[in-house]
Amino acid sequence: MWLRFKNVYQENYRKNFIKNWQPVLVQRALGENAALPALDAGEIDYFLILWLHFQESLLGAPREHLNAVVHELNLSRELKKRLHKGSIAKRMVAISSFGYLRDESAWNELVHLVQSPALTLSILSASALANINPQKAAPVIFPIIAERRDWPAPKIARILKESPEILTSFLQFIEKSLHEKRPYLIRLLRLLHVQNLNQSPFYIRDILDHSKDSELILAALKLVREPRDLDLVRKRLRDESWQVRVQAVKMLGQLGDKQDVASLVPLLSSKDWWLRYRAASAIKAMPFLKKIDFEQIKASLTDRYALEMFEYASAQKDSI
Amino acid sequence: MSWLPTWIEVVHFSQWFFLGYFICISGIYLSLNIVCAFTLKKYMPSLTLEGLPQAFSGMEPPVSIIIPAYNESAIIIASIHSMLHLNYPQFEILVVNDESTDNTLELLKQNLEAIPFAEPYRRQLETQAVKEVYLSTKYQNIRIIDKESGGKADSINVGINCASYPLFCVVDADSILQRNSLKRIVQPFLEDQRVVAAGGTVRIANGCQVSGGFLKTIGLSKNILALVQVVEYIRAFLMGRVGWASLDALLIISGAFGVFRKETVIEVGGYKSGTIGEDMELIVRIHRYMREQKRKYSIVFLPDPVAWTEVPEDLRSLMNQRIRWQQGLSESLFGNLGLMFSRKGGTVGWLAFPFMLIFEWFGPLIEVSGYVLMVLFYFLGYISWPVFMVFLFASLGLGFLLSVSSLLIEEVSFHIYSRPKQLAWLVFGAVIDSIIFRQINSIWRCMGLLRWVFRRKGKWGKMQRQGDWHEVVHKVKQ
Repeated sequence: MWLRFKNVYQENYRKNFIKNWQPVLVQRALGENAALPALDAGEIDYFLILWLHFQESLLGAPREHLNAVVHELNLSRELKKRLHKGSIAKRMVAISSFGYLRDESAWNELVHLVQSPALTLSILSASALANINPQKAAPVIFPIIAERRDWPAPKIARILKESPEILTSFLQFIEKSLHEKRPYLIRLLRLLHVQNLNQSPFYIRDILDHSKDSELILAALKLVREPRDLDLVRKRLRDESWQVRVQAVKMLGQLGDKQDVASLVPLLSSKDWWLRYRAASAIKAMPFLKKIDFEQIKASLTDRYALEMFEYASAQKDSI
Repeated sequence: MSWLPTWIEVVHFSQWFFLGYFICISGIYLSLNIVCAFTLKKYMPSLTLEGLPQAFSGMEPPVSIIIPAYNESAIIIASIHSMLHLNYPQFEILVVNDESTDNTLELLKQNLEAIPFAEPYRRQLETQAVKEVYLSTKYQNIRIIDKESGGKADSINVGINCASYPLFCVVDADSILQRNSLKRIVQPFLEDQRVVAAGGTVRIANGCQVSGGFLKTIGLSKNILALVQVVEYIRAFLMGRVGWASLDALLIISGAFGVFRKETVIEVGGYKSGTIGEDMELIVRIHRYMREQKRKYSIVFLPDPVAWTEVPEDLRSLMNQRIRWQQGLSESLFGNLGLMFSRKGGTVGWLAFPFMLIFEWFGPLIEVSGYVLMVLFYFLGYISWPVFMVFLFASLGLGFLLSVSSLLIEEVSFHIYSRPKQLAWLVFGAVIDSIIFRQINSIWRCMGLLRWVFRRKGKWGKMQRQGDWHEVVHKVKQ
């Protein structure tokens, strides 16, 4: 019963706090000069969570306006104290806050925390460091990214998406890691798959040309961004691994030209379902093919499975 | 015949046996409760920043949501609406109609504006024939698969064969998923390549209000049977599943909500057709297979991703459900006996499996005979009033203590039922659970054991649906 009363009291207090502070933070984020209500020591947690909520939802100048609020409330010292002491939850909030504040005063503490065995604290610290100073953070966090298998890939991918500087440094870091052992490199390449790259990283060419490691080839194939690499992709249509062949077909569907249609059509009769499916989808995805071309391809198919798959891919595309 | 025990020796043995049994089972459950409390204490802070708006990383794997359906016309459309609102970057919904005899298929086709679709069926698991595949023209990520009758396990297997993505999520047709549940439950697959299956908490929707696929208000049903089941589910999910999962010995992921790595499920042969407890059977088999193959794997449970489901509010449906569950338990355990005490069995083979066999499978029989014999001995004058009271206190009191401690864990962790009146109502439910429901449930479970002995084949479970928590249901019906 005591717990229930405590919970109800805290919940009402929190709701009331949000009711008072939310409009103020909205005004401040818009650059208006709204007066800040008094902030009791017991309300700091509620404030920081609300403030982080705004920070996560906004971009650009409003973030800076909100940072000014934290400085005005003189919370930096309290935040620094929380990096060392307090529950994990409080430390997490403090680390994230430093990241958004881009406050270098806690740099050393965050570098120390990034090596913490506690997963949430270390990955949050890495993210905060990358936010504060991407150039300076790169040599600190990249070696740990490669070493720490417990850091979830999506969270690292999000850090890399934070700024173009950090992504550029990461591409350079991979370049230096090319001679490292295989799982290390595959893990790093996979992190690039979801990044917005306009060009293929140059080192994938060597992998696509010479490597016999199907996992590495697969990781490299997913990074092909330019038509000039198409010959290397075409070469992989004859790879021993069906997964590599499937990925090569997929890339041809995205970047291929008219000459690739002839290599894709025979794959519609492949004994592997996924290869048939990807070949059909790749042909249907080629933007230069017209309705008449599809009809001609369909008429040329004699194999029942090839025809079935082609019709399936057509139905799928037509439904979109 | 001096070697035969005397009556009084039988009575003495029974007294100590039953008392020992109740203390043992309650002791194990209390230990699980403590493990769960510590696990949640460590887990809860990681959710601190979870409520903040976060962009997707782009690495989240696409998921195929499989909804097996048999005569689900009252609720299927609302459930699909709830899935469409999921906060997840890429997913497809596969509704598998197992030759429903009501208008489920027509309703689906009509509401989703579905048209026949030329899908080449990829038979990775043996199933009944697929009659037709339909594609929704309204929502491109929904397909309806109409198949010949084969049961729930067979329907899920058809869904797996049609699934385009590497992970699949099985959701009961009468379940509502919370918006972020899929995002949360997929997280372990991203963090650890060894994860092959993940389960989430199932909570009871009776008494709640759902509109347009969204849970509007969380409430408790006024129906006493539904209330008791709320307490039971909190105990089973918060205490049982969290506890066993933290010992790496989770033997069940609820059929109402679980995510699986498709490749692994296909490798172990998919769901076993014709079984009743297909959800538990699959998990036990995955454990056995992976351990036999000496492969590293992990089956996890997350207490916060929530699916809301309707439970029976009438005795007959509830009885049938419990009988089926016990049959399912029997099938799962006896079909995979090789896991128990196997050399590579680990905590699953050496702890969870024997526990399930002794206390969950055989337990109801011991409990029922315990109650019957104690009452009989008391009336025959073989045992004294104080002994009878000790027995009663041990069995009822410890059961109540377990339920209340689970409610306490719920209160300090997720705190779902926020009104004081709801808490009082839940404590009342815990009392009813301890003094009446548990005993009746044990009798039903004994009936389940008998049915399993006589090998009655599994069919779809039928439940008298209330559906009053669903506004959409009524709109659809109109």
